[in-house]
Amino acid sequence: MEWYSALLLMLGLMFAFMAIGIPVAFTFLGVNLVGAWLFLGGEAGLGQLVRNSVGSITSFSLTPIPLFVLMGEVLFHTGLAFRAIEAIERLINKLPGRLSVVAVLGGTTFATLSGSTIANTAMMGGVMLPQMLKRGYHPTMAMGPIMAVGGIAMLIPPSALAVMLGSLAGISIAELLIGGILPGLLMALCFLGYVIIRCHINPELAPADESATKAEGWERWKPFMRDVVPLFAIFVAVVGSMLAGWASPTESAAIGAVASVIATVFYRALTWQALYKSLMETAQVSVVILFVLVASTTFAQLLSFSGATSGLLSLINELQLSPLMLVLGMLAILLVLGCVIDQISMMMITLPFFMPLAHAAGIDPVWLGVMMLVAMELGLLTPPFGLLLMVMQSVAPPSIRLQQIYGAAMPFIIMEVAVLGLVIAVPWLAIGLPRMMN
Amino acid sequence: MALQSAAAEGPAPSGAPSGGMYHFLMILCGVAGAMLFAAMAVLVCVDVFMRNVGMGNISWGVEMTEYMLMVATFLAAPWLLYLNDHIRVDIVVRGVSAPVARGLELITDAFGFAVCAVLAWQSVVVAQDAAAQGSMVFKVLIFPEWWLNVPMGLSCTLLAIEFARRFQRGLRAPERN
Amino acid sequence: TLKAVTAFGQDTFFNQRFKAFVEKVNTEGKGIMKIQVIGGPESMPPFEVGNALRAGVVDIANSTGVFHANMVPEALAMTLAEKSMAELRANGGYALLDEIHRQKANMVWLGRVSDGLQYHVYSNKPVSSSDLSGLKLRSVPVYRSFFQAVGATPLQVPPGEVYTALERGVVDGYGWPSIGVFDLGWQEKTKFRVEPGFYNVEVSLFMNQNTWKKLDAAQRAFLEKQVAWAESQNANDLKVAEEEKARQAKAGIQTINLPGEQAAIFRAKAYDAGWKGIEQAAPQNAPKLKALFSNGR
Ligand code: NA
Ligand code: NA
Repeated sequence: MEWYSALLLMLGLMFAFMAIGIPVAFTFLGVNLVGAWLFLGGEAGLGQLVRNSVGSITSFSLTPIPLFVLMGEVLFHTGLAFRAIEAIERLINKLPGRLSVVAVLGGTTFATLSGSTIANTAMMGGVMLPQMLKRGYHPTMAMGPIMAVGGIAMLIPPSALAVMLGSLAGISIAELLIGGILPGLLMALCFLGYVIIRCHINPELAPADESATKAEGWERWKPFMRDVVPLFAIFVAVVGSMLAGWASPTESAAIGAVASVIATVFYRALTWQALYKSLMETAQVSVVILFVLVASTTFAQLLSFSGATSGLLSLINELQLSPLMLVLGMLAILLVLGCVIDQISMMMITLPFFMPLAHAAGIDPVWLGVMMLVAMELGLLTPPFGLLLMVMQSVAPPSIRLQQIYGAAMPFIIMEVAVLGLVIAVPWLAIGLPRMMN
Repeated sequence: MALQSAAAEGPAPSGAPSGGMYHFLMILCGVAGAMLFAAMAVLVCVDVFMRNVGMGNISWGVEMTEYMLMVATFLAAPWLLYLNDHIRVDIVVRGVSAPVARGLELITDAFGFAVCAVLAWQSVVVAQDAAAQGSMVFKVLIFPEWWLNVPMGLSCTLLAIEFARRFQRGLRAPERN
Repeated sequence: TLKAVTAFGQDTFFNQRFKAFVEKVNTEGKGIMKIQVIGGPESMPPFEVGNALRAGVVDIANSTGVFHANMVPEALAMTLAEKSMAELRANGGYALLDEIHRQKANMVWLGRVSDGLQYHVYSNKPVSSSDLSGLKLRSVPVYRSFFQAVGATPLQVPPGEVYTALERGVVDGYGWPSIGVFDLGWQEKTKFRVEPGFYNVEVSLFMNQNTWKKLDAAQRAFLEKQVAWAESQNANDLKVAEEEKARQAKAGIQTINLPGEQAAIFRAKAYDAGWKGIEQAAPQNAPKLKALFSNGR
């Protein structure tokens, strides 16, 4: 079979299965069966497929995925995350769009403690949205910041998705995690500025509320010092154990998970029930990712085995694109894909092609990896299919229409695209910190 | 406080109502996965701790962690399907009429059943073959290689059963127009 | 057309000889045979190459016995070999191990394309004797029990994390062939290389037995001739290793020479640990192999 027939067959089947609503993991498993039969050779090929599938998930590099998710879930289910947000809320006074500002700050804080975008958005949405709507915030100001800041969790470490990207793409996981910090913070700053400026110009977007505590001095700062600052010890445990040479990057995820549990013990917030719930939720969120990995790692292998990968790559190489054009092309593909499919599938579909191309063109893998994360984060917000849009829909009251959710996300999408452009123009934003670390 | 009460509710768990042994089995799969993740975190931490206080290390730690990750993934996958939690791209499905959507749902279930049944069958074939060949895993932990195929075989069997159950339920469900 | 995979990355040292081999077969073998290289680790995971060969998913592979020791634990004898391939072909060692491969894993051991290169301990802490206790060394199963025998703590670290692990002191060193340290950039975080080396880094060509049986006499003769050519190139390896060591010295990796007696103990422990592993896994074949492959151990 010629490489383009193989490529068309594999991708065609994949898109067809996905379009009729077959879950992503089973789509890939199904295409794999066909591909294994054709390219690996009949029944022996099917057996090889099974062996490769088991091997793909038996990997120490993937262990941070559930552990990073666990960190966030523990803080969420023990209520510590909510106490932290309340403490932040107490600090913010008299700012235009006060609760939206709290959402951005709280979401960013939680992003340093949680590796799961879904957990982040579900929590922020569940906590902040009802209050904001009750106080007459415009839906854009209420839902936008919550959705946008949720995506930052996958950029700022810990991040389960960054680990997955690093392991699939062969990019240093530690450098990728550190590289996401600056772009993530930059985004948070943009969101913050936007909220304050918009609400200052048009106060009706966020009516001033009377409920803001009038506490001053220590009374105002005490909850922050008590409920927020110590939590950064968890972040320090993860990054510090790595920098001090006590643990490898992979191992540090386990330290983070255990540190979160220990933190909740110190706050006397840990109950068996909360721990059980956190673990179950962790299994739920991370196995979705891991099970797709089983299927899609072997998909990439089959694509390569069939000759489709190298065929397409040599075709693109003939185009003689400059590295910049190549990067722009890759990001454009990701942004388009991001409108219709989820982050994990995006990685699975594109990485088998992107990484060899980037390697051949001498593109810095960490830079590319960070930009891919930003582009994928955008996919969380772009209609029609965006994970965070759906999470928001599930926590929002029925009176909120889907178009309103789309509209709320729009300004934040534009800001994220701007940040992406900035990272393209100034690669230092992505690779500066990792370089310093070395 | 408003925030605390919101916390207590949390996101609503999505679940398929069912009862009896099967429900129990599915939950058990999820619990097993969750517990393996917890054990993984503890194991790695103990290993790191022992190494850094000079007590040597757990020689089988890394390998065991890898196997735990693999087993947890395969065990929890059927439970996720039971909860209807595997991610899907449903932009098309959302736009079509109810009978078409129902048809697509049936196709999905039949497709899932076929795929998982084949994988379950092949897992058994591969395991038998490895056992007959006498393959052993020679790392720190030494054991017959066919053990590694058991979790996937079990997982795909349970997934196939769950897909079959959904298919049957889909057929029985009255058409809603 | 024979479908081939390689267990090593396209541009790595351990793939060069295979590349040259394939090129030569395809130019000289017009009308006799053609090898189509399907890919490397991105197409078939290295530890699955052995099974893919056995099942006939691929016909020929550039791999190492280390990757299929699960099926043929005796294959590690190739790594423990202290005799050159020419000697092994003469004394029947090659024939014995080839036969074991055919019986156990339905594959033919065509020949060896890396012979004489050694593994070394690379360390960031000075070493003065065969006692490495206190050292945390990144390890793989081949020399794991040896590291334990000299008192070191073997750690499993994924290749992508070794650099960071060295930098932060999670590991004090690692075991690696005399060639290839630069491929991964580890020289930046490596202070010492311990001499002597140990074992015999093995890369071989393997073929599915059914495919082999289907070849006619002319094709087999042609293939054997090409394999013999590839094997004859192994002599260059030692020169390459010397160049690489000089390059390491330039990059700041100092050489630690263990004193004579300690060196002997060091090497003896390495081979004892290695053969013990084979003896446990394959008690019947191990003594026969040991007699043929080692130098009076
Ligand atoms: Na995060
Ligand atoms: Na989207």
